[in-house]
Amino acid sequence: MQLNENDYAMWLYNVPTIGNANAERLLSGELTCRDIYEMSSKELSKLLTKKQVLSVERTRAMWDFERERKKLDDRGIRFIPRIDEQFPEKLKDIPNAPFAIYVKGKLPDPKVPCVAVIGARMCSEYGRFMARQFGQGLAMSGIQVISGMARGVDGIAQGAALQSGGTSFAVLGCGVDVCYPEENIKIYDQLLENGGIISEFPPGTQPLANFFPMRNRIISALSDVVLVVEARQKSGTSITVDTALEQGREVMAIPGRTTDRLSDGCNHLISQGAGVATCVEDVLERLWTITSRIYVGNSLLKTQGEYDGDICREDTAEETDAKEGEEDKELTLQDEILGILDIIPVSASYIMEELYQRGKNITIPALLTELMDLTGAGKVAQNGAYYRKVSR
Amino acid sequence: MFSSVTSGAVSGITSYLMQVEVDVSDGLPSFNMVGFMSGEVREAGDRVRVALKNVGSRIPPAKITINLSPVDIRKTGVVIDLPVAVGIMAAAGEIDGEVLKDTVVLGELGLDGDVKSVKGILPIVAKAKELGYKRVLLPKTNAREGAVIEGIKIIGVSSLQEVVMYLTADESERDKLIRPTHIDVKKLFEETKADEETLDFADINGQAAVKRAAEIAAAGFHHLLLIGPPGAGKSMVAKRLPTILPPLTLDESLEVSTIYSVAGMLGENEALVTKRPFMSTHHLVTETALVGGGNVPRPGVISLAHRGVLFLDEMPEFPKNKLDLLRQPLEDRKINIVRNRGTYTYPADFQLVGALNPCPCGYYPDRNKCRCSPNEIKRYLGHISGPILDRVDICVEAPRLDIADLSSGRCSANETSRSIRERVMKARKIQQERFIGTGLKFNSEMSPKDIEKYCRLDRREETYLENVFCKMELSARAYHKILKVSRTIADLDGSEQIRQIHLMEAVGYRITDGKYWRQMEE
Repeated sequence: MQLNENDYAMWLYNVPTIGNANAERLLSGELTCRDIYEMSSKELSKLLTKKQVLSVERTRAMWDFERERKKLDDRGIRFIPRIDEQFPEKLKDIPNAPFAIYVKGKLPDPKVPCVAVIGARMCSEYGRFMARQFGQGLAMSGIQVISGMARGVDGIAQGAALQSGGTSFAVLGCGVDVCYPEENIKIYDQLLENGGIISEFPPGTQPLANFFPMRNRIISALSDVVLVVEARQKSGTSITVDTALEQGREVMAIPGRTTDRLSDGCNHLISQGAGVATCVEDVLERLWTITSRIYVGNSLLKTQGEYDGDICREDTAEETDAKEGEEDKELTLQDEILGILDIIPVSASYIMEELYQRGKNITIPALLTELMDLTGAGKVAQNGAYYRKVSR
Repeated sequence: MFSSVTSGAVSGITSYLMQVEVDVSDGLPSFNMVGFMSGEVREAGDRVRVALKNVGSRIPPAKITINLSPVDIRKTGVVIDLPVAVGIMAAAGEIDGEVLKDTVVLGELGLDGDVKSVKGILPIVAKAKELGYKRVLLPKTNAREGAVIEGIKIIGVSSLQEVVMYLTADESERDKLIRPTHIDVKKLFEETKADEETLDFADINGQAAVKRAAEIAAAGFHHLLLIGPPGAGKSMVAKRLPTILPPLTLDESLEVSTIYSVAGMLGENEALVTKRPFMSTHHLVTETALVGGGNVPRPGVISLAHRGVLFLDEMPEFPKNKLDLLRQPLEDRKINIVRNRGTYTYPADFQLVGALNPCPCGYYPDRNKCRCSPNEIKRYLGHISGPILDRVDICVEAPRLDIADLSSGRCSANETSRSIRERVMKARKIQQERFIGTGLKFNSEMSPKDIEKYCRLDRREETYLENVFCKMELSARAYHKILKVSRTIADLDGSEQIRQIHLMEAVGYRITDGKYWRQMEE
């Protein structure tokens, strides 16, 4: 078997006591990974501590290049060290850049802009809605959506992006062959087809709490704009925002109601000067101003026209539709109910009360039946005692 | 001299009569009690001796032997003070033994000769009547309870002197000395039944969907589960459920009163339980208190809720083993308690209402307040075992209250319990007529076979349900529950055929269940 530099890099990456900083120090001179592999213990001890030399020797004795390479090949995983030309440019010049990454699927296309859509794991219905809207809108504009495949906003945005035929990439806090959280297995599978899964942790690594802040710096580094959908004042999202600013990435946030604790983080970011994202166009516009510098003559211009799902515009269109209908005939009961419902879930009692205010008296069994009918038609979603409108 | 006095005791919910035999014969003065009794029953001897002395009746200085027959039943928690005292006096010749032949004597004695109340009067008196006894001498405070049984003379006495006076008087004089207690059961029943209910569904603002679910549960005797944040009014709804259930019938009232009599929970001078019982318990309840039993067997909370509502608040806080004790009674509508001294059976035909918070902090899905992770929520709800959930037909979420629900200036007036009850009773009547001769009483009791028979669907409804079934990935059990509940909804609607609207509403109750126990959305 022909060994190349990547194989040696993988060996070095897997020496337990040598981390990013040490590897960088070792390679900063003329040395290649192969040189280090072939060094004698005496030479090594000039560069490394006694303990490190010991573990280098031990792994060197045990390491089977062929087996390790086969292990990755079998699982369709690629090991890409920084010295490899495929290694994303964007990841190279950040503080504490990873020495190498594992990839399952594709890597983001360097010629296409990337937006990270991130937010709370336990998000509100509003957060879900927005994550879906932006995930979909960005994907349809040809933008690559990057996120952490976590519960809540991350997964929803990526799922929506993939659903509408876009590409998306997930950066995980565990090995690329581990699906965490398990319930996102569907997204995981789709990502392998239309995107990729990236991690700096070796395959098989189980998720640990302290891995997640580390992967956050890769999420922000891979993106041109980091979009915060919904976040509490103090949360994991703020770590990604911090690393984004450190790396000189643009940060945008979706504003929320000031009474929603889950929007505190976003509103705070806006007050600190983050870009306001009220619709997908806001993000595209911001992207355009940055990316015109970077991606000259890229595909963005071409694809932008395809997407016309501007959520602001769409809603007004719906309203005019409704108004036109009003002139012709009375609103049906179902229309009235749909008029009351919003993306913020409300209870049946509330709907009944609102209907009463509008002069419609309806019994609760009748209302429940109407709501079930609307749910069946896919216009309304029921969540226990709460009902909300389903977008589009 | 020998004498025999009849007394009675309860075993489980049934009663038996026993003979207190007293023999006073020559020999060294002694006082012996035999007849398979436990320590606390034996104490009666001391009380009787002092009480007899204090009322001025002398115990003969002789060998006194007392026997409780039948001797094969162990007497625990049995009070035999008054019968022993009467027996000794009869054996000593102070009382004519003849009158005791058709008399049952019940009561506890104070050291000064006062007669105090005892438990289980109702079943014992019923037994006495069944066996042809003519009169029962019992504590005055229990007299009204005993008088519920018609056709037997109830003599309420308050002291030992009164007893002696009564028994030594001439046959014709006796009723003048102490008037037999008599009550008109039907009249009393109607009177107390008509008492104003203090609770009413009209007290609850908002929560229209929950109230509707309660109405359906009441109509079809479906067990009900209420999920909601603290302060949403779950307990309020549960407490008012008895007010929309049909009033107790006289037979039911007697059944319930018997249990309360055995448990000693009928108040002084209270003759009958006329309101549907509502029993509520929290998770620290002991197993014995919950299902009954104990050293001296006593009905538990579930039996005290017989023919009424058993409310379990904060259900996931209950240890699993305690909740699982409810499985047998939910199935058989009675509870068998097996102890090494015997098996006791208590009726326990109750309607279960459980209340729980959706997550450990209580505020899910309000993510402003709740930060519980999906796993925490899953674990919390997992405390309620599948077999218990299976028996709950209706699961409804009580949403957090909006200010608009609470403000007094609301537009739609709340419906009163009275008008809801009318609908419930109508639906119950329909069920009664439908199930004549089948042994069934309520829609909730239908087996899959019965469902096939009584919940036949039209083509359109069938297609609809098939669609739902596939879309929601329902289990066969969930399918049957939907049909049972929609049968009740149709009955409430007065519709013989189950229509799509009925099915739709029933499906709505299944969604809540699915939301919390089948898949977590986040």
